[in-house]
Amino acid sequence: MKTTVAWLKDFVDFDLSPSELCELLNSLGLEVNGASAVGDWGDAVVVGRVAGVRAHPNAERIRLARVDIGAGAPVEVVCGAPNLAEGQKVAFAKPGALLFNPESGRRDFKLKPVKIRGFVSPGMVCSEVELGLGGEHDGILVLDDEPAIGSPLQDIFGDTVLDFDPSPNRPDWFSAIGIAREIAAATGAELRPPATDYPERGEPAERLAAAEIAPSAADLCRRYIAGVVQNIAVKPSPAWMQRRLRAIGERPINNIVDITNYVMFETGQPLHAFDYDKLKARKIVVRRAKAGEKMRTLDGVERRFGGDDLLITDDSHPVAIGGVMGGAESQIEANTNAILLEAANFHGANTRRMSREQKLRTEASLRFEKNIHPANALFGIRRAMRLIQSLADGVAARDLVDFYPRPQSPPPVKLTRKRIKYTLGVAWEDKRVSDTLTALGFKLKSAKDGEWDVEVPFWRVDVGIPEDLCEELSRIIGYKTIESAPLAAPLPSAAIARELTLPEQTVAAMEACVRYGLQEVINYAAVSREVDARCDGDGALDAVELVNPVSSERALMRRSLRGGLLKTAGYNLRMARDSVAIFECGHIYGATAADDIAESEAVGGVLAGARSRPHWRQKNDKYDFYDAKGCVESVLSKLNLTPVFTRVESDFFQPGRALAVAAPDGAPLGTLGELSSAVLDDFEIDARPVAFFELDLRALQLSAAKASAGARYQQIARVPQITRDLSLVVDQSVAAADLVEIIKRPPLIKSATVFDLYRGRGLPQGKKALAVRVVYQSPTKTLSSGKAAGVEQGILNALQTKFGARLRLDIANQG
Amino acid sequence: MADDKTQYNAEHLDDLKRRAVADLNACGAADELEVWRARYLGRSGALTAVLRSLGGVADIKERARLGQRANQLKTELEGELEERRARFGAVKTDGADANFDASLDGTRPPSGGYHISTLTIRKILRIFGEMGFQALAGPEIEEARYNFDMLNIPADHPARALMDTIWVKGANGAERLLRTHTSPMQARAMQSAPPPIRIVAAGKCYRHEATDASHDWQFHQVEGVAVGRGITFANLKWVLEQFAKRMFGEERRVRLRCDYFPFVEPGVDVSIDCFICESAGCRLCKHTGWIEIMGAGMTHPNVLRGVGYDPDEVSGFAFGLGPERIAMLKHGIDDIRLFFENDLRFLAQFANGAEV
Repeated sequence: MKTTVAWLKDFVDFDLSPSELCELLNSLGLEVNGASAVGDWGDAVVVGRVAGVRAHPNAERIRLARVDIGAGAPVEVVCGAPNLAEGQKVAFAKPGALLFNPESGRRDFKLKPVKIRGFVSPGMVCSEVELGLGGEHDGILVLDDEPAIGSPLQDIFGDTVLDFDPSPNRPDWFSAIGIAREIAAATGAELRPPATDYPERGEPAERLAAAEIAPSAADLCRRYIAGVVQNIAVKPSPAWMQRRLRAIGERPINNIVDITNYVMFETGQPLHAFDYDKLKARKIVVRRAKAGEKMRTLDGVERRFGGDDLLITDDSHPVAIGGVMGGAESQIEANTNAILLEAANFHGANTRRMSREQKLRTEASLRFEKNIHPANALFGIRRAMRLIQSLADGVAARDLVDFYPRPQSPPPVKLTRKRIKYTLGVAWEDKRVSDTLTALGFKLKSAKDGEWDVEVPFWRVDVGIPEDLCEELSRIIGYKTIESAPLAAPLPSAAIARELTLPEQTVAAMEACVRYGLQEVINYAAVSREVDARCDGDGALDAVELVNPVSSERALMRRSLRGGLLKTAGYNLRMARDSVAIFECGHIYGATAADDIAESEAVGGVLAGARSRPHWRQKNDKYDFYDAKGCVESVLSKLNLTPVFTRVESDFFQPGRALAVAAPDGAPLGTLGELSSAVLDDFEIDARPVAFFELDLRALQLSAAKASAGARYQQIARVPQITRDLSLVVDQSVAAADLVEIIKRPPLIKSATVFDLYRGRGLPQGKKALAVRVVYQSPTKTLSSGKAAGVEQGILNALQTKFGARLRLDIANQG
Repeated sequence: MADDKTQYNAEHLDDLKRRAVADLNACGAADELEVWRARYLGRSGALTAVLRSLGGVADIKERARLGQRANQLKTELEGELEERRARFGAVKTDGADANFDASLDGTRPPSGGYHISTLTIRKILRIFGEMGFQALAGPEIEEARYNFDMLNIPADHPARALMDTIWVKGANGAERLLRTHTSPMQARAMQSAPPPIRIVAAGKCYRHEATDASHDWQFHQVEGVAVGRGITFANLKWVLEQFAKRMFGEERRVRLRCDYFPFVEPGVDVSIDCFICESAGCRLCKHTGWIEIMGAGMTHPNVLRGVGYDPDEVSGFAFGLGPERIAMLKHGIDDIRLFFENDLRFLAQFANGAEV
C-alpha cells in the first residue's frame, strides 16, 4: 500500500518530518517499508515561461527557447520537444539539477551546460520523464497558468511517497483516509474526511439500471451498489491526479478509470466502471460461474471459470470477475458516453482463492481479501460519483441502485475499567479511555461509571471484543505508560503431558557425542527422492511426501539422518578438510501403511579421516569402525545402558563391519559400522574408511527410563583388588568379546579388558595374541594372590577347552 | 609366581637377582626402566613380595639372614637402576633439563561442539527456565487444527496466506502440514494440563519461501506461554524486559509496538535498543536505533476457550522468537543460510564457546 504525505494532508494537518511520521505510524502498528522523496529538486528546477522560440541556426529539428525564469534576463536554451510553444509555463532545470537517468533508473544525472551544434545551452526545459515524475511521452511538461514564474517547482510537485505493509486484519490501512485517521487520533488533530456529496441531476437510477445478487451467490457477495452517470467526457484526468497516481506507481489511463483507482487508494473501496451502453440488459446480476464459462479480462487474457468463481454479468454475459478484474468488452473507451459504476462487497477468502487460481492479484482483490465492511461501498461510490461529476462533467443519476439484503451492524462491545485492568494491568482515567477511543471513530455510551457500550465504526472490522479495545488504548496512549510488573503468579504444576517434555536423554546423548569430539550439525529435514531411496529404501515405514516442497531436492521428509550427515560429511571433506567428526540430533519421519505419521527422533554421526589434529605426541591414525562403536558405547553409557551388539550385513555397510545395537532387554536401538564403497561413491566421498552410527532416541529414551528406574546404590568394596594380566594366543577367527565373556564368568572377576592385540611375527600362522587385564575383587575380604591364581587357572582351562587358547609367556605373571 | 605360603630361601634370592639383572641389562630406554622397577621393586614387585613374606619365616636366624640378603639385593638393584637412569638421561631428581621444550603444544582431548542454533536455543531456554518456564518439545509434522484453527486462525483467515505452508500428502483424515511456527505448542501445552501453565518450547519450523540471506525455508523458533489467574500485559512487559537484559546485557531497554498475530490481543513486536551503536544508528539497527527481536501479546480469548480455559477466570501471554535471528544479531552473522549449510569452518567458530 502506497500513499503520499500531501495526500494524507488532504485529511489531517500535521507538522512531522517524513521520518517522524514513519516512526509514529510504525509505533501504532502500521509498518512503513520506506519513504522516498519525489520532486526534491530544491532551487535547481523552477517555473519558467517561454518568452520566445526560434530555429537553431545549425540544426533542423532543434529549436531555441528563450525562457523567462523570474530573476534577471531570460535565458536561451536548446529544446527538441515538438510541443514547445511560446507563452507556455514550463519546468526549467538549471545546471546542477539532478534529473532522471534512464540507465540507472534513478534521479542521479547532474545537468551541466552543454554545447549542441555550436550553441551552449545553460539549462533545460524538462519533460516529466526527465524530472523523474514518471510519464511516457517525450514532450515537455506544460504547467497550468497558476504558479509564479521563478518559483521552485518543488513547491508544486514536491511530495514524499510512503510505502506500507499493513497487517491483514486492518483493511482500513489500505486507504489514505484510514492512515490519516491514525495520525489524527495519535496527534489530537482534527480529521477532515473527503467530501461525498454531489448534484444528482439525472433520472432516478432505478429507471436506468437494476442490480441483484443471485440467491445462490449470496454467500459470496454481501452488497452491490450501482451508480449511473450519463453524458460524460472521457479525457485525461487532471495533472494533480495523474501525479499522485504515478507517485504511488499507478499508470494514468483516463479520467474515469483514474478516478476509480484514486478513490480506491483514498477510501479503500475498490470500484469498477462499465461502459453503460455495452451492458446488454442494463441489469447487473451477480452469480456463480457456470462450468466452463469464458471471459476476456482487461489485461487481454481469455479466462475460464467454474465452481465458486463469482461473476458479474449483464444478465446474459459475464462482464467482470467479482472483486478481481473487469472484462475487456465493457471497458471505458474514448467514446464512452455513459457509465455504470460498481461498488460491491465480495467474500474475502473466495476472492483470494480466485485471484490465486487466475494468477491475477490486483489492488482490488488485495483489499476484498481483507474483508472490508459493506458500508464502505457506499462511502467509496459517493466519493467517486462526486469526482466523476466534477472531473468528467456528466449527469449523475438520482440515488443509487443498492442491493443489500442483509445489512451488517455488529453489536456494541462492552468495555469496563475492570477489564482494562484485568488485561493490561493498568488503570487509566475514564476520560482518557473515552477520548482515545472517540478519536479513533468509536462511539461510547456510558450507563454506569467505568463501563461503556462501544459502537464500532464500519471501517474497524478487526474490533469485536474488549481485548481489541485494550489494544487500541495501549497503542495510542503508549506501551511506555504501562509499568512492568514481576510475574508473581504461582508456578505451574508438573502436570504437562509427559510426551511434551523435553527429553533429558536427548540432551545426554548430544553431550556424549560432543565429549567424544564430534561437532553438531543441523541438516534440512527433507531430502530428495534419490537420497531417500539410497539411504532408507529398505525402511519399515514409507517416506512422508510433501504436497508443495520448496524444491525437488526437498521432496520427502527424511526417514533417517543418513542422507543429511553424508552430504554434510562429503561437503566438508571436499572443502579441503582431512577429517570430519560430526553428529546430528533431530526428528525423523515415516508414514505407516495406514497413512499415519510416525515422527521420531534420532542421533547419528559420521567419522572419517584423521582421528586427531596433527600433534607432536600423537600417532597419525584414522577414524574407523571402532570410533563409531566407541561413540555408541559412550552415548549408551551416559544413559546407564550396556549395549548388546550383533553382527549384521547390509549393502549400506562394508561386509563384516556392521553391528546392530540393542538395549540389554533386546530393544533395537540402531546400527553402526563402516560404510560401503558404493554408498560413499554415491555421496562423492573419497575418504576410506568412513564410520557411521545412528540411534533411535525414542527407543533409547524408553530403555534408559527403565534402566534408571532400576538403578540402586551398590556397596563400594573397601578391600583392595588384584590386577593380573593374561596374554593369550588364539586363532584369528576367535572374537575377543567371546574370550572376555568366558573370563568374566567367575564371580570374583570384576572386569576383564583387552588392552593389546598383536598379529604377526613371532606367532604361529593364523594366530593372534590378545592381552587381557583382569581385575579380581572380593566384596568382603582381601584376596590372596594364591586365590586369584586359582581362579586364573580355571579361566585358562576353560579358554583352552573352548578356543584352544594358550598362554603367551608373560614375565609379569611369573615369579 | 609363588604364593603367600612360599618359603623363600637363598636360592630364590639368587635366582631373582639373576633374572633382575638380566632384565635390567635388556632395558634400552627410560620408560623400560620404569617397567622394570615396577616389576621388581614396586609395591607388587617380585623383591617386595620376598620382603613381605619374611614375616612368615619361623626360624629367627634364617629370617634375619634372608632379610639382610634381600635388603642388600634391594640396595644393589636400586643402585643399578639409578646408574642406568642417569645413563638414559632420565634423572628422577629435580633439576633443569636443558633439552626440555616447554613451547610444544599441550595435549588436548578431541574437542567437539554444539551447533550455534542449539547453543542459542539452550541459552534462551535457560533464561526463561530461571523465570519458571518449563521446556517442552513437540511434533514438526503438525495437524492444521493446532497450527491454525486452535490459534484463532480459521480456514478463511487472511493470516493463513501470510504463512506459506508446506503441506503433507496422504493426510489420512486430518489435514497435516510442516508446522509454520512453534505456536501450536501453546495449544498442545494448555490442552495437556489445567492452568496455571508456564512453558517454553523450541524446535524446527518450515515455510514455503524463497531463500535469501535473511530467509530460509527451515528455521527454529522458541515459543513461550504463561497462563494463570491475574496475569496481565504488565507481567508480559516485565518478562520481556528480563529476557532482553539477560540475553543482550543489563543496560538494554525494551520498546513495544503494536503488531498483529491472530492468537494474541493486544499483540506487540518487541525491540531492544541497539547494542552496537547504543541507539546512535548503525547498519545492524538500520539506523533506527532499535532492533526487533520477537513478537508477543496477551493470549486471545478464543485460544483460551479453544483449550477449555475460561478467559474470564484466567489470562495469559505468549511470545515467540527466532534463535537464528538472535544468533545473527549477537555474532554478526550476515546470512541465515550458513546455519544449515554446516560448513565446519562456520560451526567451529561458535562451538567451543560457552552458551552464546
